[in-house]
Amino acid sequence: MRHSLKYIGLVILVLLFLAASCKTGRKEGNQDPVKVTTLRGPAGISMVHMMDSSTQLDGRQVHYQIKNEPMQVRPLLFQEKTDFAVVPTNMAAILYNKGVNYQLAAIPVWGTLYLFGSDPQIQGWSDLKGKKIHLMARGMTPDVMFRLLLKENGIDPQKEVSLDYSFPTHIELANAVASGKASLAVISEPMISMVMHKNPKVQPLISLNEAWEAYADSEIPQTALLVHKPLAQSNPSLVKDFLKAYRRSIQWINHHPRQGGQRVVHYNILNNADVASQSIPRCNLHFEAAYPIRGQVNDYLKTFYRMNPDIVGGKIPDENFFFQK
Amino acid sequence: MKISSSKNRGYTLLSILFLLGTWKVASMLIGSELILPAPEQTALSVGELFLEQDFIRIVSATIVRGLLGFAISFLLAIILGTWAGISAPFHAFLQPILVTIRSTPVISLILLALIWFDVGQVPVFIAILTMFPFICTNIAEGIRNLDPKLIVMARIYRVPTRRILKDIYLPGISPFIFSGVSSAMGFGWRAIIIGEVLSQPQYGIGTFMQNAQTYLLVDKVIAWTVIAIVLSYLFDQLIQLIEKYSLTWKYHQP
Repeated sequence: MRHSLKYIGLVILVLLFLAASCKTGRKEGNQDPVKVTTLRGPAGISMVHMMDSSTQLDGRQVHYQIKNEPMQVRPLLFQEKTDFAVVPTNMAAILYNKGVNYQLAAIPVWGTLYLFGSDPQIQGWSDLKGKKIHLMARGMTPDVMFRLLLKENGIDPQKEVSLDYSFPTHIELANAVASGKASLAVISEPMISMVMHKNPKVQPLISLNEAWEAYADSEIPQTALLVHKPLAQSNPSLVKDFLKAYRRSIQWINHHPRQGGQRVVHYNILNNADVASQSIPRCNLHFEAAYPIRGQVNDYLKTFYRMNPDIVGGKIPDENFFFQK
Repeated sequence: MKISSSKNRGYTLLSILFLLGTWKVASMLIGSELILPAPEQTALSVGELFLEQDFIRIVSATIVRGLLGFAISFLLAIILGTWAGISAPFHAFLQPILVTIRSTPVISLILLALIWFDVGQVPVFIAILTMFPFICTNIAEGIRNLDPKLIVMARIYRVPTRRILKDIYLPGISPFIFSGVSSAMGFGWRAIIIGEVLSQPQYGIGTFMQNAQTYLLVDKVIAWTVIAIVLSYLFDQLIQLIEKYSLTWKYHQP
């Protein structure tokens, strides 16, 4: 009995300790490297030039890391372990609305989603009736956007098509399309170029970007660059320099797709330089600071909000969501 | 889950209070709804789930998958388990197969099932593979544990086969069956929900758990978990009830 009490006490202690250690944040020393987290996709491609050229900012080292999925970036934001990060814009809104300490600094990627596949019958939206379409990650941007556009084009996403989520990440979904396991899928560049390279039967069939522009009269502010709020407040000039470097990085890669493709392979974002070069113009990269286009970003979020408020974290973010230099 | 005396009931209560207390303290220390919401807030979220318009559909989809998986594995287990119980060579043949199925990580089964089957079938397939080995092993063991002398004696006294089955086999193996079913169901529900999280059928507890996770609704993730625990508990109670009933029925036969 004495023994078991001791053990229970020990367990409680351990739990309390764990809980307490979650609370204490890390201290920010000035000589810590600046940490940048990007995604293996258009966002990663947009940063290859700065990975080469901006390895130091304001006397601090800059460390870049590339993650496969936004879900892998999320915990870094909870724990405030990265200074800059790239996530889908609606995820940025969710995080902000839940009190996670980051602000939206810029929109670097503007719509890279396509319905593509090997089914030659698909000419337009109405041909999708009765078809099975593969989507990754239920509830994330490609899924909610595609369902919204189906509805806008007169197709009931619950009844008239069958949506399949059994390939949860874009890499798995891309492989499924390449191998012919999935004949229709919604997916983003650069995976489209990669799959088309592997399987010449696969074609982009419907551009979600064009469909979105027809519907909302605006491009898709798809991906968000977030900045850690304490850094934005304590060192705005570093943030400004970073944004400048990022703008240059995007300009560079749009003008140098051939060299850019090689850097993309160098950073292990894709494994084929030709595919990467082809993909770059289709990645829709252009740098826009977030504050001046806050209306457009909020309109985008409102569309999702009307579908289901949870998609943007329950409400439209307020002014403080946007980093203002 | 058996509570034998009122004294132990006190300890059960204590344990539940301990769980809730630790949860409450931890949530206060963390101080962020986002990471760990307080128990009372989660209780509210559970309440909200009941009001959700598709609640019945979501939960019943999971239950139907569970029952379907159970029915198939039970049937298979009766046939193969009985055979293995009677025949030692078949028992030796079946053993490595059962061990392999049981030792395969659930996640590898799911990953394969996602390639082989349609989305709706994945959780059922997983349920079958997780439940079948438990029930099958227990039925086989139950039969092997019967006293062979008893059967020999019954044969000598020319007791009809039907009565041998009913009065020797059935009572002898039914405790084994019930304990097998009980642990199979415990594992089965968990496996089904993992299957639902990964295969994302339109309705199912796992689907909505994953959805809540995507939108950072931690209280809802926990609320669905509570529903899953209650579901598993209710089925465990049901199995115990059936066992009790079948025992009384057995001893009141003329």
